[in-house]
Amino acid sequence: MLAWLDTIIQGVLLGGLYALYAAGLSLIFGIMRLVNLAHGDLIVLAAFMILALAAALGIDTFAAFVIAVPLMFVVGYGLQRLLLNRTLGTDILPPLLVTFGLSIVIQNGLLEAFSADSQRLSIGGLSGTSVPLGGGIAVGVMPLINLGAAILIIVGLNLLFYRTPVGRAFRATSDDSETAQLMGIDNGRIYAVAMGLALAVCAVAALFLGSRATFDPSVGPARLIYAFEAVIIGGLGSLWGTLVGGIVVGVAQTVGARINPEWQILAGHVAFLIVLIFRPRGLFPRTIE
Amino acid sequence: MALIETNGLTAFYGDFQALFGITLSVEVGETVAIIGANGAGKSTFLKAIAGVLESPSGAIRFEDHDIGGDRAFENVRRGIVMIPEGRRLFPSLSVEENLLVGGYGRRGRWTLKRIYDLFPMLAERRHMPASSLSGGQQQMCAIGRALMADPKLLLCDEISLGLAPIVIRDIYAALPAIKAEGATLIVVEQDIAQATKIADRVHCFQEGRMTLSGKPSELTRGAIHAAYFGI
Repeated sequence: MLAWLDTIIQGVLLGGLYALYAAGLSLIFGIMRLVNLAHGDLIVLAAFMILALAAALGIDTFAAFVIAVPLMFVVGYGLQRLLLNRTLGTDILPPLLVTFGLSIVIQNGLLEAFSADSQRLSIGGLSGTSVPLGGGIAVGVMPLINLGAAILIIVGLNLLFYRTPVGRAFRATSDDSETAQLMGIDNGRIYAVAMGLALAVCAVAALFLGSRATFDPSVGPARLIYAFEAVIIGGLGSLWGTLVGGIVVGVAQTVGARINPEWQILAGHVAFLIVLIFRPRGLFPRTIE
Repeated sequence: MALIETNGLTAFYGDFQALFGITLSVEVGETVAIIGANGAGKSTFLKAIAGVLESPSGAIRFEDHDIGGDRAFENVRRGIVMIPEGRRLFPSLSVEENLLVGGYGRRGRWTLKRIYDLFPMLAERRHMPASSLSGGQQQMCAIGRALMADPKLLLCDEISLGLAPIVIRDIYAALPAIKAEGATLIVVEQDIAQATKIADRVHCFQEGRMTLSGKPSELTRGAIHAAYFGI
């Protein structure tokens, strides 16, 4: 019994990581109806960025992470302004094709620069530290920080959306981008800020991705799938739903792995399909069709 | 002094030409009404001035600057504000948030409190979703949203469309207060009686061309009908 409780707690913590993967994807889809197929690769890019910054500047992973967050914001802002804004329009195909291409470019670029070797972000003693909860159950400090970070980011994004002028501009643009321009809102800039925010969140996700397990240039697309599943389970347009969606995938994976280690990934996908069958619009749908 | 001038303004929707060289000027503080049948190009003219539709450079001058080809959000920052046809409120924002977002690009003399004084009905419903308002209230919200940007030039696109006569009267009753703040108005109307009542000058469009201009007092019913229907 206790072992199952442990499994579920570990699954919730894993869900915090998937929610971080998904938050940026959810943000971008919510504001500009853009499905970013390079999202997973951008997380991996951020992980390599932290790795390279730490090596080049001789600083530790956390210091490199603090630099990588604003740097990824700038990457996102530029990417949207220079490339992705040109793909947005009534046709949904161009952004899909361009972000698919971007995914391939990022993977191969990273392969050139860093080789296919597995890498890991070193976080010193923190990686093995855990907090005992009693009854033989212990939770890792990093996974706990991860879940806390996911909750903080979702609270922060919600405050931004519902309490600030730029958040109102995000929502107005999402409702009706043509009319938003009549309010003096520069859509191109709003989209660029949104992508900047999404990639800053990717940098946070990258810290936990890279310190939890090894990564290499090819792992992005699988992160994208988990992120997609979390967003769809949660319901499009709802950030809290995205957190719940991440946790559903995380718990399904750890429970699956507990039954049979080979079933970990499969169980996450099965949970996703079950939710789709019974709640095709997700658990907390927000978008108006 | 002319606030805005157009010079041979043309506009296209793809291959379809909607305006064939409109030349007119509007003085500071004036109220100009544009009338005409469906498809005459009235709304297109407002969209071109607002920057929603692209215009050739040199075709529009605002405060003696060439603004042809500039985008809508840039024009809002100059003080050209449009109330779009069909109101187009943001459905997922509350009434108050709709008003606040109106002041995103530019703020001025109009505050939330003054909008609520002008339309007390909005104050009672400030925290409700904009989509829950009645048609007339939505139009008041759309006007309030435009005022939040402190317009120098306010473009009103069919603000009486689909509303009951008594509601139309309430909405037009707000115009003097708006004009008192120094706003210049271009009003597009299908309702000729309403247009001639409020306007200093009336222009009639037909099939993308201007067919009649003048002061309301100088225009006979017959002349307006001829210009309106082209018969």
